[in-house]
Formats: sequence, C-alpha cells, structure tokens
Amino acid sequence: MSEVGLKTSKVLSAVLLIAVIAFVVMAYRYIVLLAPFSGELWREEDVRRVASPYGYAEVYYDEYGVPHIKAENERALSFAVGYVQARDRLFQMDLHRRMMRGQLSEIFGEELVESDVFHIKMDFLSSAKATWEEINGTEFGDYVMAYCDGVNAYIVQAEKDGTLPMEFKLLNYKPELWKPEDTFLIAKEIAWGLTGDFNDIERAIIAEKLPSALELYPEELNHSYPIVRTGKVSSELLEWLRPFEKEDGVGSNNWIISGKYTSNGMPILANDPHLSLTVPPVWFEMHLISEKMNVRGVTFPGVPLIIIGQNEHVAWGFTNVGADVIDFYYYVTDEEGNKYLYKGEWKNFDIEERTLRVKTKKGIEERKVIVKKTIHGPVIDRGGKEVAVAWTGLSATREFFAIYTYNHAGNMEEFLEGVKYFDVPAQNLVYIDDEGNTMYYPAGRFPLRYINGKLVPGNIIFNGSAGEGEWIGFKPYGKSTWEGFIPFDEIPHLINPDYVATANQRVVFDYQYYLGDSSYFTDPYRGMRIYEMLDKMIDSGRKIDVKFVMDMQRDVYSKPAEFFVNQIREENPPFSEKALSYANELLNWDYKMRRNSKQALIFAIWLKHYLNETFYDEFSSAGLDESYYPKYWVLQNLDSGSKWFDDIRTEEIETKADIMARAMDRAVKEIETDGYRVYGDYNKLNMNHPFGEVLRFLNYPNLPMDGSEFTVFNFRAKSTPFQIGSSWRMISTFDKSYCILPGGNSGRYLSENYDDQLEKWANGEYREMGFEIKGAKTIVFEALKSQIS
Amino acid sequence: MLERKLVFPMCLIISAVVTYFHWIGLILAGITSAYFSRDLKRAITTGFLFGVVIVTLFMVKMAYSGQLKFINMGALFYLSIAVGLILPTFTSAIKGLMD
Repeated sequence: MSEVGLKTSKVLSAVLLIAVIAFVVMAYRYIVLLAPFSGELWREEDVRRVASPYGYAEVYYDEYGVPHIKAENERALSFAVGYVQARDRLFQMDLHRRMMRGQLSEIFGEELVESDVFHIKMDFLSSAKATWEEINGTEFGDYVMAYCDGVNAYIVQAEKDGTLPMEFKLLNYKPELWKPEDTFLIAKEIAWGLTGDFNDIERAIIAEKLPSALELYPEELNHSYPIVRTGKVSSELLEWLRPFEKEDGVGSNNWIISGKYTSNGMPILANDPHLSLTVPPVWFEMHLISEKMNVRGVTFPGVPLIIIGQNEHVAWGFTNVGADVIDFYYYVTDEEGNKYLYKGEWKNFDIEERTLRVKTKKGIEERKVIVKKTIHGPVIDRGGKEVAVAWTGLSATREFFAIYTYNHAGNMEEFLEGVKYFDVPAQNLVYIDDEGNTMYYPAGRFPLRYINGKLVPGNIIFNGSAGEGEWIGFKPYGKSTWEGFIPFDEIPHLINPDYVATANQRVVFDYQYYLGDSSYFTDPYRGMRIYEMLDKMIDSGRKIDVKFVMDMQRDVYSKPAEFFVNQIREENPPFSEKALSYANELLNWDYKMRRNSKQALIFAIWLKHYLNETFYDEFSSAGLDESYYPKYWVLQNLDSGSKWFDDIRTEEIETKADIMARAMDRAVKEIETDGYRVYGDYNKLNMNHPFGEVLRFLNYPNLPMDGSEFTVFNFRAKSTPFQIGSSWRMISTFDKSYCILPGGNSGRYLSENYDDQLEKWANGEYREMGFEIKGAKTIVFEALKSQIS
Repeated sequence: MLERKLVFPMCLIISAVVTYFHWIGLILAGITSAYFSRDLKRAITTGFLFGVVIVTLFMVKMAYSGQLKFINMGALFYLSIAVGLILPTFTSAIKGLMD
C-alpha cells in the first residue's frame, strides 16, 4: 500500500474507532437494553421453580395467557397469585400505587405534580393503612400478606435476572417492594374511580352562576325504568379537581334471569363493567384453585381475589350504583387559618407536612405539600376556597373481605354474609347460584345527613362549623361504626327476582332515603333497552339461552336515536337543503349504531351539536363550559317551546325545531370537513399505553367500533383521558360460561397475549370461561419446609 | 495460513457465543476481524458480515420464541439492529492502526 493509502486507511480507522467509542459512551444504556441476544429488553422471564414459604402451588397458562393456579392451601395460592400478577402486570401495579400515593412525578416529572398534590392532600395512603390495620391479624390478612410475599419474590427474582418488565428498564427505575397497604390503595382507587364525584360543588357553582338552570338537574329523572320496578366553592377549585374526578360515563350493565325463563331451567348472569379502556386492560383474568375454592374471573392487578366472576356454586357481577357517598363542608376559620369553628368550639386543623419528590432536569427536587384535615376529612383548596371532603372510602373499609367471602361462598346464605361487609364503592350486585337462586343487592354504605334533626339530601355544600350534614359513625382514616348510614336490611334489594337489569340508572323511585340526585345516576337509556329486550322475550313465551344473552350484550340499538329522530319527525325542522338530505337518512334508519352505518355517524354528530346549540348560549355567558351541560334525557324532555331553545344572543325566539336544524348544519359541516364516511371513521378505538405517545408500538391498533355511550354494547370514543367501554364481558351459567377482555391478559408487549383478544372483543365475540385447567404447567412453587413452621 | 483458516473462525465463533451473553462479544468479533484479516477492507467486511449473521440469528431466535413482533418496536428495533452491525464493523477498523 502506498504511503498515501496507508495514511488514508489510518485516518479512516481512527475516525471509525472514535465513532464506535462515542457510540458506546453515548448509547451505553441503549446498548445494554437492546444489543442482540444479550439486551435486557429481550430477556425472557424463564423461572420454572420458585421457593414458597407457604407450600406447593403450580401455575398453568392457557392459550389466552390466563393463569390457572392450583395450590395446596390458601396462603400458598395467594403467594402464587402475587408472583403471577407481578410477572404479568408489575408495571401497571406500580403505576397505580404511585398514583394513589402521590409519587408519579418522581418518575414522570413536572407534568404529574398536580395529580400527586391532590392524592397526597386526600391522603388515600392513610385510609389504605387504616383498612389494613382493620384486616391485619385475620385469616384474610394472612392471605394478603402471602400475596405481598409473592409479589416481592417476583420483584427480587426479576431484579436479579434482569427480567423486570420493559417499562422499568426504559424508565431506568426499580419498583419498591409491595406492601399490604398497596393492595388496599388499589381498593381506594377503584372506589374513588366509581364514587369520587364533585357533583355537589358543580351544583353549587350552577346555583351561583346560572340559578335558572337548576331546573335542568332534577332530583329524579322522569323515566319509568328504575332497577327495582316497584359561594362556598369556586369554579377554579372545581377545574383543579376535575381531572381527579370519577370519569363521566363510567358505568356498567348487568342483569340476571332466573331459571323460570331460561331454556335449561337454570339462572344466567351477564355483566360488562364500562371502565377506562387502557393498555394493558384494567382487568386481569385468573382461575384460582385451593382446597376451599375453585373460582374464576377477573381482578384488578394488585388484588389477590376474583372481583367479578364465579365459582362452582355462585356467580356475581357489579355495576356502579352511582349513589352520593361524598360530601363537602365549609367552615368559619380564624384569621391565620389554623383553627376552624366546630359546634361552637375552636378546633385546630390537623396539619402535616409531606414531601413530594419531583424528577427535574437537575435531578430529584423535594417540595412540601401540606395535608390539612378536619373532623370530617381532608381539606382541598384552590384559589382561596377550601372545603373538607367526607368520602366513605376514607375510612377503614372491608369490601375486599366481602369479595374474599364471595370467592369462597357455596350458597346464597354464605354469600349474603359477605355482602354485609361491602362498604365502598356502592355497587349493584347481581347474583345467581347453582341451586337456582337469584339476587339483587345494591351493597354499600349510604350516608344519612341531618340539618337541625331533619333528614336532608346530600347534594349541597354543608356548613361544617354548624355540624350540618355530618355522617354519624363515620371516622376518616379510622374504624367507622356506620350507625348513621342506611341499615343493611333497609337498602332496597330483591331476593329471587325473576329478572333484574341494572345499568347505573336510579335504583328505585319513592325511596324514603336520599341516594343521590339526577346528576348521580345515568341517563336511563341502557337500562330501558335491556328491560325492553328481556320483557319482549319473556312476553313472547320463548325461553332465554346464552346465545340470546350474547346478542343482548352485542346490542347496538340506540334508544336516544329512537326518541330524538322521532322528535325530528314530529318537529319537522326547517333544514337547509343540504342538511335535509342528511336528515332524511336518519328518518330511514333502524337506530343501530354500527360502524359501517352512515346514519349512525350523522346521528352521533348531530346529537352532540344539538346539546351544544341548546345550552351553549346560556351556559357560556354564565362562564360554564360544556362539562356543566345537563343530561340528554333532560334535553329530550324539554318542550318544543322551552326557553332553553331560544338563543339569547339573537333577537328572534328560536324553538326546538330551529335548534334541531341548526345542529344539523353544524353536523354536516363537521362530517364533510373531517371526511367521515361512516360511523366507524368517527367512532374509533384509541387505546394507548402510558408510554404510547413516544413508543407507539405499545398502543393497541385503532379499530372502527360499533356502539355508543347509550347502547348496551358500550363504547365511548370521545371520553378523556381514556375511552370508556366494556372492560370485561362475562356471561355466567353453571353449564358453560363465556367472557372476553378488551386486549390481552399480559402486560408484556412481546407476549402473544398482549392484545390477542382485542379483535374478538371489538367484534362482540366470546371465549369459554371454564373450570378445566388448560395450558402448559409453567411455574411450580415448592414449599420451603424450614420456613413453613 | 493454518492460523487464519482454523483459529480465525474459532475466534469468531467464540465471539458469537460471548455475544449471546454480553454485547462485548460484538467488540471482540471486531478486534478478531482486525487481527486476522490481511487488510482494513477485509477486516471491515468480516466485521460487518459477523454483524449480519448475529442480527439474522437473533431474528430467528426471536421468531422461534414467538417474539418476532419486536420488529414493530420502531426506533428500539432499529437501534438493536444498529448495535449488532455497528459494533463489530466499526471496531474492526482498528486494523488500519495495526498496519
């Protein structure tokens, strides 16, 4: 080689070597994570044998990634459950406990500080600890301890093997060990997600800013489909609280049919809870077998029990009652704000300083958060306004013990014993058993409020200084005696009804106690439709089978479409030429919200604009945004000449027909601008992983969907921050049961079970949910004899 | 000659085995290519081919274990392939400094 060539090759070599050194230095973390074969991200969880201090257990995974866990005793079972849940969903578990503890910003940074501040101020952690104190030392407490040990055995093993879930590796942090209170934090999260409403504050703001609108929020919606057919707050405070409120639209369907009306003479139960559609799904399916139980269904990761499901003798499901179990109190305080007046006596606020750790560019920054409490509960404040919150879930509660009892129950008597312990969140419990019994019980704690000795509804902000509206026997962060709540036997319930359907509509009319005003209960459309289908079938004399129940869960008939389109017919609105062709489509429609339907598209968009065109003028001028709008049922029942149809910004007097026509113009414009052809273009699945914005591959595919918020086949495309829909569909019998999850049972992206059920779910298909152990034996837990003693 | 025919492939195989457990094997393969190759061009070509073989075997392994969908992982997938190709190829350039 010539001297020049040699020099060139040396320069080239030097450049390449410098490049590779720079690459290794700068991308070291990624090389460790992603190198072919050895990359930490590719390390498979390959543990086949695990030492258990509690005894022998074995885990079989079936083709859908459902663990069938069989153990020689209950604690060995719970240990294995902990290990398996951590193996499949550890990041999700950690994320949820961090949210409830107020520790998200330590990992994700500034963006989540407000969430952490709210959760720290509410002090859910202390309520979880109080709950654990109540349970610790019981047989169920031992079960929970064994579960924690199982989770921690996995954490230790996975850290050692480098097989922690991908998310921990990408975020470069390690999970702390799981504690019993973490499991009860999940309980608090569930309960808050279903009952943590700020409706009372919203109502107070409407009363202040647009008092005439209070007629739009009646005590009861005037429908006939109940389940049982017999100045102290500010909008700034509410805006701060909104993101942490129960998501609007969270609800569910369930119904039971007794053997009297079924083809095989045995009862059938159907349940589909409508919760956030997340990646991975909110539910985790398991089959648990011990000498005392054989139970299958779903749980929330972090909980060692089957929350919705069945054993060989009983099956149960839930929908949210939606009752008002939260109140707000204002006080007379001293000038410094350190004391509050309570029944004529000055009391010190219980004040504690907590540390919030926030990830910043300069590292972890510690900030102080003041946790302030009164006798009624934690104080939340913003913009100079502060109220104390009483929420049933802030006490020590025993709903997981109730579910533990359900898992073991062999008959209705044993099951009912458990129901008595179901404190929060108040749930419409439906039940069937293999002896042919059926039951409906809206289980939970429903507070009674008094002012001057008189029972009052709980939809106002109470004067805490005067002791108004306080709940007798309630102790936040401690053990409540609950004597000032509706007695268990007086809760309206049905033993052995022929059939019952619940869809978050009002439980019962003309009840002696206040359960909540119309803002707490959903529009009655789904409940109405379910009863309509059941009534029709039963009146026809035909017997109901599982196939019919599946068709019911797949039903996309829209009751609002039926009502509102009929109103269009009656009103004959003055449509523009273009709008008329769209309106005519609606007049020739079967009211089914199908993904390939143009009529469903027109209706969904028109309805949204119809609500907005009716209320925008009055509400916006009062400084109230669309989140304050009344329910569709209220809109549907406004008279043609109602003042709410008049646009206060114009000189003319608009009527219902005018607003209908105007809404259609808006709908046409939106449809044409956005290029929608059919409903599925607008009604699309958008289920994203917490890292989905950056790592898009973690998101589920965007599928066009059937259904709407008002159809039994439930899907709310426009809900934020998550879409809402059937988070689990289950049909239980004592012959063959069926189910489906929106996604997959595994939270690990590389698993075949990450999203294997998604298309089936979107298409309304099912898979069998039996008691046969299926799949390969994957993990064996071996007893450590020396430790058992 | 014998050294190149026998020891060279043996060293590459050892590098591949090391790569299975640690990414340093990719560097080792680059150094091996540099040491046994006659010139820089051949060293770089050998280093690159080693990377291609490793990446191919890795994809076969992922497919076999039911994890082929890692190819949908976008930047993470590309970075993984880049690590497999860049480390042995660029390291083999040390040959130019050895001459």
